[in-house]
Amino acid sequence: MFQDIIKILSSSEMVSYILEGFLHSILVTIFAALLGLFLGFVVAVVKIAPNNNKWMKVPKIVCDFYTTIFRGTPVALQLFIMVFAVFAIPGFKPYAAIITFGINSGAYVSESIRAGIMSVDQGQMEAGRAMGLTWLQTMIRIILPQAIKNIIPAIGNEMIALLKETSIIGWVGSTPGSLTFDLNAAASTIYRTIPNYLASGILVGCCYLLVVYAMVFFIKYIEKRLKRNER
Amino acid sequence: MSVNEMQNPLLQVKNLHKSFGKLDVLKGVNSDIYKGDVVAVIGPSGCGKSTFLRCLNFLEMPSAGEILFNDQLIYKNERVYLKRQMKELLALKKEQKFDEAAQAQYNEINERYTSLRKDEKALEKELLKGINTHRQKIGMVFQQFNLFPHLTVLKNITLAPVKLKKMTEEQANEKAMELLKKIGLEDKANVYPATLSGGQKQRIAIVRALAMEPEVMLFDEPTSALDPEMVGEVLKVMTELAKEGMTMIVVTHEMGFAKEVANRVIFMNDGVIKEENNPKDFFANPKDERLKDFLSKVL
Repeated sequence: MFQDIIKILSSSEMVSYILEGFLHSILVTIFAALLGLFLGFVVAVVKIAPNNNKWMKVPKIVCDFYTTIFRGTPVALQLFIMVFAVFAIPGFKPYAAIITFGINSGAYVSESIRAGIMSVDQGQMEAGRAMGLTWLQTMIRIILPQAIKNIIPAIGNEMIALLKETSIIGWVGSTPGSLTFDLNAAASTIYRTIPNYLASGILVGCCYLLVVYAMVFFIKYIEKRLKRNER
Repeated sequence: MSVNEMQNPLLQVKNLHKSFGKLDVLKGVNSDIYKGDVVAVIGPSGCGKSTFLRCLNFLEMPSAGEILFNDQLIYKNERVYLKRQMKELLALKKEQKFDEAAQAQYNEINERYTSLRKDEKALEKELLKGINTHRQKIGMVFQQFNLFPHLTVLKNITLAPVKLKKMTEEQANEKAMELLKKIGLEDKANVYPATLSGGQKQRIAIVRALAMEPEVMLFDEPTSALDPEMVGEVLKVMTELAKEGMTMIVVTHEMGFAKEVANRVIFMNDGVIKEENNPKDFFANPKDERLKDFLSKVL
């Protein structure tokens, strides 16, 4: 096995596969995460808005439908439907995949954000409203800054899960050079030349581990910074 | 009765009702609050004191009744009663007692209901639109302080005045420092609330409400969450505020405060005001049986 690993590492073609996959995995994750965070944030705020606001009735139903569907079905199924049916446009495949991961992640993120907002004492909203601030002003200036501390660990968890979820992007077909050629796809491609899945698997696994480790480090850093102004 | 009886009341509450689902918490509260009044509201827990207070700044939307602020009608809902009457009449149908007289009565009520409905709905819309302006005129102090833990003391105080464009940032800072100086906490301006004692927190919560320059201050059991030795410092701030002429409605269990600082004391029980008097007579000659019982337990 070690010989195979060395064989892979000494072949510039194989190494370029891994590097390309590494880059694409990170890119797909970043764009999906950005979309997911944006969607999750909007959905959470809509869901948490007071029930008596008639303008919020339809958005609330839409958001409930969204989280039910995207949390209730496997992401692989969503990927196939989005890539081969909804966005069956030539050349759009990688973007359709990123959109799918983003939308899927948004459904989970929205629940994390909602939980974080709900964990802030009800009295904070009342205090803000009692002074004459609007619901949105109170939300933005008072509730969200406090909620974010509770949200970050859950979001970090979700981002790590997202990174690994993107490993199925190759299932819709990937060739080197396309954004869909991620780490997992690189491993399969290497296997075709050097038929030892353990060797390529370990190498690619180490890459994933490296990214996750960096993410954990980053999340902890943010948590620490946010805690700074508590006293 | 108030010393300022000659002028119109600042706040008029008429037949105020509030129910949470099937639970009726307020069952017809009537009260006039005059400018400069310090009203202590006492009563057993669960009698609706806090709900009454929260209905005044619409943190709870009342179910029925009337509220006037500065002689301006801001809340009115009478149609709830009419609706109930109509329902009762319709219930007669089941018992086959729905005769012509009942029908006539029903039609009459229904007519009044329809004419009321439009006006009251319009007023409700107006209220929802103006609710934040209304709240700016009414300061509120909570039992649990509800300071914003992520902001410094100074920011806690200046956030609302600046955000609501009542003052510029400099003006708000100046005003906040002046108020903090008054309560002797100017050295705490730049610390976070977590480092303060309960008494300090509540004093700052009072200052935060004052920074909006409200016309009335509502206190919802301001000393109930405090250590006994910190109650005094908060009551002192409130007493000073009363001396300056601030109109205050204070839900409290501090009988000493009610006796010495308030000019009117209200006893609430079972969702209505059972007794209202000046503090001297209120404590010396209570008339209501429940009040006598209550006082014997707390004094």
